[in-house]
Amino acid sequence: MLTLALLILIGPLVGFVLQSLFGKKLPRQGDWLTVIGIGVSLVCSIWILFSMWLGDATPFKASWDWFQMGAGDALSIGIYIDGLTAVMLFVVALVAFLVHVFSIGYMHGDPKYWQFFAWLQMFSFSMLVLVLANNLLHLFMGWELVGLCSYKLIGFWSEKPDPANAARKAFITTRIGDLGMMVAAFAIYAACGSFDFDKIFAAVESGNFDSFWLGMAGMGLFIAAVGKSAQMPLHVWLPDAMEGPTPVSALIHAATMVAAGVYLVGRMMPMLTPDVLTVIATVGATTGLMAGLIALAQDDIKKVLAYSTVSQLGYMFLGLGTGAWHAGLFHLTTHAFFKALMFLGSGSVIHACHHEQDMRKMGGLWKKLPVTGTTFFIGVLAIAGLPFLSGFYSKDAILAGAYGRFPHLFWIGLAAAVLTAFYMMRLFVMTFMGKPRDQHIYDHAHEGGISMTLPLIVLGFLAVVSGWPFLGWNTKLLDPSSMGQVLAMPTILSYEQEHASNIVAVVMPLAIAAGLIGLFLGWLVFGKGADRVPALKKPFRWMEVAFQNKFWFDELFRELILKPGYAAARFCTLIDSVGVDGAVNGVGKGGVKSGRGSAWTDNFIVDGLVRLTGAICQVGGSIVSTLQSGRVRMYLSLSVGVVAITLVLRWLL
Amino acid sequence: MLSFLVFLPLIGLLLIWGSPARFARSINVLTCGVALVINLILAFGMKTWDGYSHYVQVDWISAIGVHYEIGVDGLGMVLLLLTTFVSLVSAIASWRIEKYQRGYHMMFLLLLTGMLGVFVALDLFLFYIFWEIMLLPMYFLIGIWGGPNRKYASIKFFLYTLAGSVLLLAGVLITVFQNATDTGLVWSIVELSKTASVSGDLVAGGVGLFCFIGMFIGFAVKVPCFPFHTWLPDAHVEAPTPISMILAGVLLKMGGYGMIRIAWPFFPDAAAVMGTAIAAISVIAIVYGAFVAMGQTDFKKMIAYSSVSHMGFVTLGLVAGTPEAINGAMYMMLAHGTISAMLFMIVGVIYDRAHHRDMDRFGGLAWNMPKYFVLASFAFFASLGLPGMSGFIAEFTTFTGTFASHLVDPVTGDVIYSYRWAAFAALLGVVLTGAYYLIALQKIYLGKTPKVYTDPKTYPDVSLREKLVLVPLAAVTLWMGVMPAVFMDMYKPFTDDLAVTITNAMKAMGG
Repeated sequence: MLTLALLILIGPLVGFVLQSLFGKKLPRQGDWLTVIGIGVSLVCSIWILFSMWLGDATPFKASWDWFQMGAGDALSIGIYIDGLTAVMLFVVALVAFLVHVFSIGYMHGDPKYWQFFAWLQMFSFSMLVLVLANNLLHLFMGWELVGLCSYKLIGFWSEKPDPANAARKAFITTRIGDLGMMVAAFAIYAACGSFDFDKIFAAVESGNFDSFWLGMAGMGLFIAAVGKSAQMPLHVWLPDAMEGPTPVSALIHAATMVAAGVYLVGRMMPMLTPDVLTVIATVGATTGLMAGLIALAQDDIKKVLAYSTVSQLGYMFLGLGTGAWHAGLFHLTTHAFFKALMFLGSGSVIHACHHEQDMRKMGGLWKKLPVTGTTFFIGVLAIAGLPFLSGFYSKDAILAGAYGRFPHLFWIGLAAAVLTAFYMMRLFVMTFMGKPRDQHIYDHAHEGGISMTLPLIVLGFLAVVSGWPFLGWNTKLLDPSSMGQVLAMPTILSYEQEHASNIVAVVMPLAIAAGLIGLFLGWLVFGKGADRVPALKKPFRWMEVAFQNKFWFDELFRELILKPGYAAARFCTLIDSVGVDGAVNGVGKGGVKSGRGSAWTDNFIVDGLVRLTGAICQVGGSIVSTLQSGRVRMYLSLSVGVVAITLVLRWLL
Repeated sequence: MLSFLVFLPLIGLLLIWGSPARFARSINVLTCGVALVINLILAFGMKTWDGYSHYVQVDWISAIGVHYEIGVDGLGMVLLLLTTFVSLVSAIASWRIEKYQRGYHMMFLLLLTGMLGVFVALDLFLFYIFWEIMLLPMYFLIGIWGGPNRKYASIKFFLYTLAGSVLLLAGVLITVFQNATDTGLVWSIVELSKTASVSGDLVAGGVGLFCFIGMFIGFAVKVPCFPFHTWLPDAHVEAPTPISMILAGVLLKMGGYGMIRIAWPFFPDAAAVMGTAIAAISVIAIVYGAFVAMGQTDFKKMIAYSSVSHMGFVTLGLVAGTPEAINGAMYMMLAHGTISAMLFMIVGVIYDRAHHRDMDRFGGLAWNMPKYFVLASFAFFASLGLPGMSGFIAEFTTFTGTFASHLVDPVTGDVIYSYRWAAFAALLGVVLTGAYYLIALQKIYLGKTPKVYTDPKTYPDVSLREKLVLVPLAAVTLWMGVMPAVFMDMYKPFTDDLAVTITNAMKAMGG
């Protein structure tokens, strides 16, 4: 197991190093090298997945001392593989592998082709570090490194201003969330003296963790997840991140990195208090609904998918927050497959349309892009939650969990499910069905090569089958009891509780109905009644304005954070040059002035006195010198006179 | 052997004096190289990092009890290594100095002797002499080889640090005279710290507080701490690139070293009394420094203010007093030493080509100078604390330690001392640092390239010489980020002991 785990990391790491050093000079600019790198990871991940799924699922642990921070135990780096890790490894390695393959076609001819693959490798490595970590610090390192790769890849085409801005926004927004992670880490270290998951959970269980700071730590972790997984109000960076190349969006901004927040919350579940879970569920449900509404009014194919991702991530948090731990992580997995599928599908469309992303210029592309269209349709049905497709099972599980614990959130979730099906159908109809709206684009559209269609087919297959209950991978590998003692134990649902028959009897029909209604309405409005769309929209105009403006979150941030921030920067700069440095210069000038003052004093008074003395002496001297004439008589009379005066004086006194 | 290392640069200096100007730079590089090698030999020759090795004590001015006393422990050694390493790369970076070559390189080596001397001196008198020796060459290096406003900057630097030195001297003299024994005055740092660790502050009461504040300000000017920092941006902006590298890489570390080695061990109680005030100025330095850096348009000034911001962690870690916090503070000095040297070289590379540093006038440099861009973004991300590089370890450890500096009376539930507020407040700096570096990165390297910067003749990618400077710095930064134990274990025996002294003092004060 250890060898496999290390190979998983070594593959992409070596790939990254070699590719960044020699990639440009290698044949085919080294794309094969990176495919091999991630291929190694994939093979090992599959091995681990199957051995744990079909065999023994006891966690594997290995750790090494890294460095000693203080007087206590050394911090460790290490590997922790349980069912959750095995699932995540498979998801990350598989999607990363497919995206590598897809990029061979998609990025073909790009001047920085080799760099793109180098960064994809680096991302895969960082993400796998994050997933394999056995402690929070180690996880945090992977967490930050995926942020870096995300920054680099969103801004891959930074010659243009938009990608550069989007990349910076993504990095800084997620970094705000990371403050939460840091606070959590500090609080954990202060309480446990370690970052190891095992030790943290042991400390929580034994009650050594101060309850106030335990809550703070839990909230901090969730804030970090909010940043990374683009939940309200830190979701603003994800739609902008669509400026990156589409394979990047599929890998980082749909399937893996943005799901890292969900993974984090899932991983740290044993230390989350019931209060924190309530917050998580509420934020998740709200985000799910809000993002679904915004997605309705987007015309950029990738923006729709981006908001859909935000919405689906909200779903996962709803699942985790309601205690349906298994459901949330199950949905993470299925979502990774069908959302990566749809992103790559949209990449295929964009590639075919010469980098046109506006759906209003597409239409009828199914005929031109049969593989893309068909697999995309599978994705749409899966996300809408149609029975027997993967999304159906995972979504159903989340809704069932919510129904038992937070009924009001269940209804919000159900509304979001209708919306999801509706806007996905809208997207599909506008892109693939109906008549072409831009004949020129339509005429030139063609399917990409095998490197682009193959990943779609693989993902399409998984989007169908990955939820089938009889496979049983999810119940075995994502078993809540594998977490051991959980702080919020009464609220964590086992698989059986999740699927209690009285709940399923209510939830399942509603969930199926929601999907079908949404799909049908979407088809009705945008497919059949496409001509009447403007008229239909009219009464909802005010809503559309709100959706199109994304509920003004960006403006809010600009006014509340960016502007005051820049103003503070200007203010501090001014203070520094005028106030602080002014004081220093003032002292300096004062020094010079007092120096001049003393120079004056020195010149006129001190030196003047000296000169005065000199002058007096001189005058006295010249008087005296006239007496020294050399004449004896003069001397004689002078001495007689002096003697006489002396005598007179003595007599007088 | 240690003395040989310290005075080796003077041999180089004499060689330069005696040979033609064209050999000056080679002799400088060679001397620095030899110094680094000797330094490494000395380091490997040390059996333990705890206690002083290569120790020498000879009578010097016996009338007042001054000795020539030198030695290194792990703390001194790690800073010596930083000094010789940064000096070597700076010497390579000095290759293209044209004006008065001999004078420049002689001053450079004199400066090196001063710096090495500070880190090995164990006698306060000797320490002070080395401390002052550095001032002179630095003054000339900025004042003669600097930019247009060099006179102002060099005089400001000189007077400011001199003023700090006077306070330091006052503190030192009072301390020494108050601790005279029957046999005379004691100048030995080792003995004085030993006394203090047993019986508390070397000078009690208000006078002791004055001594501590005097020493603190003396060192704070060098660090530089807010509000004593304004000489730094001017000095950096005017200094030639290699001198900026030394200034940021080594000279600023003197202040922190003085605090860790002298001020805190001598006066742990006074330090505890001043704790909140010092924590406050540290947090101000971190946040305010970052804001001011964000407001700059001059590339070099931005880096200078980022130094102010980062050095705030050093004082913050020291006052917080937990082993983690002090280790982090010390690690910040090392990490900042290499990263800021690299950053100033990055500025130097583009200044050599463009002859200006206005970030608003740059743009899109990444596309024509890809290697330069890779190295520059490496340095930027290292400085903003990306994991895998040294800055992350430093920041994270300091933060963790500061947060852990929190003691509650188990019986009454009263807070005895706590620096959690400082950790929280300083977190803002993390986001701001990310923001100003990414804004700068975007302004300088991304976006469309103005036509002036597209000519490969005037804007070639980094040369071999520049790579020789930047790549080793990057490699060490990475090494320090991946294997922090190598470096941290060197100074840990000292800092862990210091942490015990400091926390005891804080406990005593709170209780």
